[in-house]
This record gives sequence, C-alpha cells and structure tokens, in this order.
Amino acid sequence: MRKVIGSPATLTGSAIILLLFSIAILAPLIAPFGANENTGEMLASPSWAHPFGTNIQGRDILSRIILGSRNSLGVAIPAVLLSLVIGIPVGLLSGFIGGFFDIITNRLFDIIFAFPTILFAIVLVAYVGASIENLVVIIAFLFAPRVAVVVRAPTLVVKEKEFVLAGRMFGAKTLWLLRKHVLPNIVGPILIEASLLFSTALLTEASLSFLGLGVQPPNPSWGADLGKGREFMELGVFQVLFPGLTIMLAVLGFNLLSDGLRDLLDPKNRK
Amino acid sequence: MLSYLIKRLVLMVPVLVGVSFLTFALMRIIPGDIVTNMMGVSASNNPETRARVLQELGLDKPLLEQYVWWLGRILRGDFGHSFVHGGPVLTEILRCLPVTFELCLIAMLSAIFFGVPLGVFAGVYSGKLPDTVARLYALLGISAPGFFIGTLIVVLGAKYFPGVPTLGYVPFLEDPMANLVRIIWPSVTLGIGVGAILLRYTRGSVIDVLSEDYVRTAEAKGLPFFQVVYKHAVRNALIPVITAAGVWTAYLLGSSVLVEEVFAVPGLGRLVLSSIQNRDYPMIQAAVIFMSIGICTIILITDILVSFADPRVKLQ
Repeated sequence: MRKVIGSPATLTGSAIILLLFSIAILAPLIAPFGANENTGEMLASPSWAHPFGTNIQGRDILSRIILGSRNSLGVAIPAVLLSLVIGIPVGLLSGFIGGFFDIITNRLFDIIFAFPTILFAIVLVAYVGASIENLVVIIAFLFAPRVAVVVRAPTLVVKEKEFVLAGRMFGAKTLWLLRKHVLPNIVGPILIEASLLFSTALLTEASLSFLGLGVQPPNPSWGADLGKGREFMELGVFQVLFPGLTIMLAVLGFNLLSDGLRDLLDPKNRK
Repeated sequence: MLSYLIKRLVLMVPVLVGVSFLTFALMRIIPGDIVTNMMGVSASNNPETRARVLQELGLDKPLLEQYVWWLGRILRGDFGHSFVHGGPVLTEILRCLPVTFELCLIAMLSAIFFGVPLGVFAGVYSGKLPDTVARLYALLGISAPGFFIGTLIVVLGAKYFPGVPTLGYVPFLEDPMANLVRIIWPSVTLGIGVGAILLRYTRGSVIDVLSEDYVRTAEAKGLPFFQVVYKHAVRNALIPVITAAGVWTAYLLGSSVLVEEVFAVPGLGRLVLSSIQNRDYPMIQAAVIFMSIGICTIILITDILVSFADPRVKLQ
C-alpha cells in the first residue's frame, strides 16, 4: 500500500482522474454558464469572466469543457466496462477451455487487430450512425478482443498450476475454478489494461467527435469543440488550445495510472 | 527464405478473407433501407434506380452468393464504381495511396530518429536526470493527441510564420522541395506519438540488455564503457524495437486519417472521410481492404527485418 501512495506517477494520475470525476459529477453546479448559453460576447479572449474565452456563438469555453466532461467520461467509462464484461469471459474461456473456441476467437481477433482501431471505429460509425450509445458499443466491441488477449495469456499459465489441478482432482467445477483460482491471479493485468483502455477510449471518443462522427454539436464535447474551434482558429488560439489541453490532461491521467499500476504489479519491474 | 515468404503470404489469406467478409458484412448493418440511405427517398422510389443500385452492390442475390460474387470481382481488380462521380474506385485509391505512404514513411522515420537515440540515452542513464527528462517527454508525447498538435501547428504557423506552408500537398515528382516542406509537418505530428512509444520500448530494452551476463563480461574484460554500450548492448536491445516499430506503423496508418484531415493532405484517410460523408460505400470498402493489405504487408516486412537483425530468429 505504501508503494501505491509512494509512486509519484500513480499519485499524479489518480489526482487528475479524481479531479475529472469530481468535475463530471458536479458539472452543472460548477459551470459558470450553460453549455449553449449565449453570453453576449463572441470570441472573447480569456478573461476573469471567461477564463478560457468564448467561441463563435458566444458560448463560454470553460463551461463547455466542464459540461463536456460528462460526455467524454460518459462514453469512455461504459465503453471500457462493457469491453471488460465481454472480454474477460471470452479470454477466460479461450484460455482455460481452449480447443475449438480458442482457435475461432483467436482467428477473429487477428482480423480485428489487422485494422487500426480508430479507422475501424470511423468506418463503423459511418455505417451505424453517430450517437453516444453507438459510440459506447463500437468502442467496447473494438476493445473487447484486447481484454480477451490480456486475460487469456495468464489464464494459460495459471491453468497448469498445481492448485488448479488439485481443485480439479477434488471435482471442482470449471466455473468455480475460474472464479476462485484463475480470476484472482489475473486481476493485475486486467487493471493495467483497463486503465490503458480508458485513455484510449477517451482519445477515440475525442478523435471521432473531432471528425464530427462522435458526440454531435451543440452537445459539449472536448473533441467536437476542438474540431469546431478550428473553423475560426485565426481569431483566437484559445478556442482549440483549452479543449485540446483538457483531452491531453485526461489521457495523461489514465496513462500515469496505468504506468504506476504496471510498475507496481508487474513482477519484472519490482526492485 | 522463399518458402517462408510463401508460407506467410498464404497465412495472410485467411486474415484478408476475414477482413473482406467484415467489410462486406458492413453493408448489411446499415440501419434502414440502403438504397434510401444512399440515393434519398425520391430516387429510391424509382424501381429502375433501385434495381441498378442493388445490382451494383450485388444485393439482388442470396447472401453467400453475393459475397462470392463480390470477392471474385475484387480479386479481378474491380472494386466497383464511386457513387459520387461514377469513376472506378481503384483509380481514386491508387491516386491517394502514395500520399499516405509518403506521410507514414516520413512519420516513421522521424519517430525512429527521435525515439530510438533518446531511448538509448535514457536507458543507459536510467534513474538519472536525462532519463527523467526523456520519460517525461515520452509521457507527454503519448498523451498528446495528434489532431491537437497538428491543429496547433496549423494555427500558430499561420499566425507567426505566414510564409511557411503547412497545409495541402504537392506531388513529389512535380516539385520535390514544395512536397517536403509541406509533408514534414503532418509527418512529424504523426511521428511524435509513435516516437514517444519507441522511446519507451528502446529504454526498457536497453535496461534489460545492460543487465545481461555478456554485458557484464564485456565490462569485466576492461572494454571502454562506450564500446560496451554501443557495440554489445544497443545492437541487441534494438531487435525488439524493430518489432514494436512494425506494429506501431499499423497504428500510424490509422492515426493518419486525423492528421490528413487537419493538414488537408489528400491521402487515403481523407478519402475515407469524404466517402463517409458522401455515403460512397464502394470507396470505403476498397479503402478498408487496401489498408488491411498494407498493414499485413508491414507486419510481414517487420518479421523479415527482425530475422536479418537477429540470427537467432529462424524464419519458419
């Protein structure tokens, strides 16, 4: 436990994530303006009244970033959770039972991995349409194989351990073995992968929204606001700077956490 | 070598068949009626138009037959015609392909140029100040989205260096200088993230290798530090980095979509985006297939490079 607190990476990462979550939860209370409220000042430079300035429609950029956190996290969190819900059982089964199921899933993953995630997401959105629900499902669908692969590898190792064989000898059921013996042994890799997936999910949502294929304006979204800000960017860099920095900070937070977890949980890195 | 190559190419087939089936299946997940989606309500009510579109897409036959028919056409190099301008899809793709190829090539070179030396440096001095600085740089590079860095380059470039062109594309053969001056910005933008990732791989690999027995032996027999590091350690440390570079080139190809959009580079990614806006489905399908062929090829080339770099790896 001291190690968790002692690592500056984990600490900074957790602090950033905690801050983001608090902002998302308290958003309507702390945002000085409404997301689509016209403040009467168009393209105002950052000032005390508008710390991040206003956009072409006179909307307060800070307020949009605060309220947009709900959309960004609201896509990333359910998407990652859903990918875990799909990926963990698939990985456990293909690793533990193997056989035909293992072969089929692996070939399928090869196909999905043969294609860059973001491009796959863009194409899928193009076909099914852009909505928050679709984004969640698409991102989860693309991430689930990564979870399954991360789960499968250690499952193969744990499966051969004496305690699992002993359990089997005593007539334990597969499901019980998976839950009692295998799952606790693979929590570490899952946590590391999940934190990494959070940063990737945030980035994917931001990228899609940036291209106009994600959260649709006038709903506030960091990526979409950055994309929209480009149209009038010669009138003020702040329009793209602050949404962009926010995305970067959020991604950084999850990356730091995943680095910290890896140092902590990966035996290779233990000193 | 030759038999390995043939084997690998054969192994590529099931993946490509899978990708083609997925792209084919995409046509079927469009909600609602595809003809209405593509042509608008008024045109789709015209039975002649409807029949023509369904035939063009091969949707007028049973499912499996449709797929075989479609695949057969693609294998003959017929990717269909664009819904927008009616020209063959293949021509358009072949026009955009070299642009994306150049972009990704220079991006990868810049990523290696920045990432690998810094990674070696950080690994050799691990735990010291240069390491901390390099790791911090890597962390920021990984976290900064390419479309954000790219937008900043375009905005700030236009504002403070109005004479420097950052947008658009000039073919290399037309004007090599104008080509390079423009392509360097999107390439470097694209390369920053991958460079940061390669830095991390290199650093980790160098640290691992430096703790190997043969490095200790080399040190013990009195070789100068420089020679130990660069002759013994780094050469071995770079082998896993080659694999990483190959895998991340695939990622580069995906991210190029965003960077091409930001810098108005007329590559494959931008073609996909505009086709999406126009609902030009044959174009999207063809682009998807070409990109996955590209990625499979990159991974194959990487494996071959690794076997050259590491005599212990046998191609089989």
